[in-house]
Amino acid sequence: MKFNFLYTSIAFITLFSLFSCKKVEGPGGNSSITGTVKGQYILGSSSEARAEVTEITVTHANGVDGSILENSDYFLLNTPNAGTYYYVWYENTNFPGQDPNLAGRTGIKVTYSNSESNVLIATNTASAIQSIAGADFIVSRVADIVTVTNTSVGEVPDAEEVNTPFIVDVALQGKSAVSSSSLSAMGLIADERVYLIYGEEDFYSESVRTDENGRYQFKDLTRGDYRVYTFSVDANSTTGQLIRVEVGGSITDKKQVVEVEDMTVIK
Amino acid sequence: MRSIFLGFLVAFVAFSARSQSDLSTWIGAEAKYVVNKKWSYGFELQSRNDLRIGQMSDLLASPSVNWKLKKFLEIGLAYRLTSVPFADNTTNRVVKNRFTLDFTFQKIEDFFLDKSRFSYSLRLRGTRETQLDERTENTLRLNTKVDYDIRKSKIDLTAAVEVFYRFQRDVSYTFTDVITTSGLNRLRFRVGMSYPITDRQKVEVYAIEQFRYPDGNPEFIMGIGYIYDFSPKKKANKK
Repeated sequence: MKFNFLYTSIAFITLFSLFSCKKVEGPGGNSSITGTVKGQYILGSSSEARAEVTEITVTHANGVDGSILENSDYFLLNTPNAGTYYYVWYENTNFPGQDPNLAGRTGIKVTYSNSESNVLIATNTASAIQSIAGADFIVSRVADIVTVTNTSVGEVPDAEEVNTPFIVDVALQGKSAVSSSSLSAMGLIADERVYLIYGEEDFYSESVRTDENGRYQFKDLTRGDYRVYTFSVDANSTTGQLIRVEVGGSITDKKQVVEVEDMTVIK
Repeated sequence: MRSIFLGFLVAFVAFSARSQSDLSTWIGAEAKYVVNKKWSYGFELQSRNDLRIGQMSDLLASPSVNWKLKKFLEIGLAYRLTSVPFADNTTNRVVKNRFTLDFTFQKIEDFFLDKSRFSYSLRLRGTRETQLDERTENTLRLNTKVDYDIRKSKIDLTAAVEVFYRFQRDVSYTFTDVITTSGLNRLRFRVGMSYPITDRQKVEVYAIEQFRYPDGNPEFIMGIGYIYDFSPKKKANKK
């Protein structure tokens, strides 16, 4: 049997190659991916979304506060999320009035007479709103107070009495899950969990938390492509839904520190 | 001779006395096949157990080939497959692959002495060990070994010191840089004795004390090995 060092070496090198094939993305290297999470915090005790509630106290006829409902008087009702805007206008049955025809708004007509009581006008107002804008409002009445609740949650331009003698109050301010007016100033997000996905994988393999400066780092990575993500409250959501904020990075060399883009979130 | 043997026993007992802290056992069996004066092959199986944990630790299988290039120089290639526990208290295991290239300078005493019962050898070993999801370990090792052939006895005594130098032993990360440090990784002292049962069979026992760095924590290892020579024609082991 003849032995040859060359052949033996080739056999070993082949074996070596089998176990030293190119590594896929993941641990086992000496590179890292680092980045920063910044964003805004939702202020207040709750980020729960809610619908706006408006109360309309109907005052008329008896000259309460010296006010008398007049022909073509109107007040405004609004909806969130760029929905339909309304105006509720009044026409005296004895003196046909003129529809204000406000551009961009849908009119709701309520007829009345000077002899009608506040309660009756309130009843008719509630019926008219329910009839025309039932999809946008839930309407109820107690005595001369009509309560209009938006069916959609979110921020709503406040209702306005305009030229009616009514008292129009916002009983409960509508609110989105995220309200621009309720966010803190932009800052660094501490103790936020950040996830790392290797290559084309679907699910994360590692996670870390940010330090007090919003910084994070994934270590011991091999060359390849990575995706980093964290979660943010969806600013457009009315239910506080979380969305993924993701950035990508590629490690192309050994001992490399790849700084990925900042991730901006709302918490 | 007696003083050497006693000295050896003292060293062995001294090693053993430290065994309360970190004690492992290595139990192995090796098959050898000497083809001719230049070529030899080997295959070793070994089980390494950490007695502190009380469970099987590492299982090794290692084929090797040696080529005696010159009288004083032998080159060796070896592959080692190691099965290690994935974590403590689990039966899941992962494998390591190690490739070794040895340059062994033998019979160094012949440069200085005409005849001696001592035999000196120096081995320079490079290893590359890989494991899935772990950093590749590249190590350079220098082993100095002294063998002593006891007169009128079949027992051989061995003492060796080996230094391990690990490339990129430590890796530290900042937000801007990765800093790697190479350095002394391990220092190993070994004493042992071997005894031929028959022409083809041999047993050996040994004790190892090693220090891992940078911590410098000592570990003690008791080992036993069995060697069987499959060579067509038995080569003389004894001088």
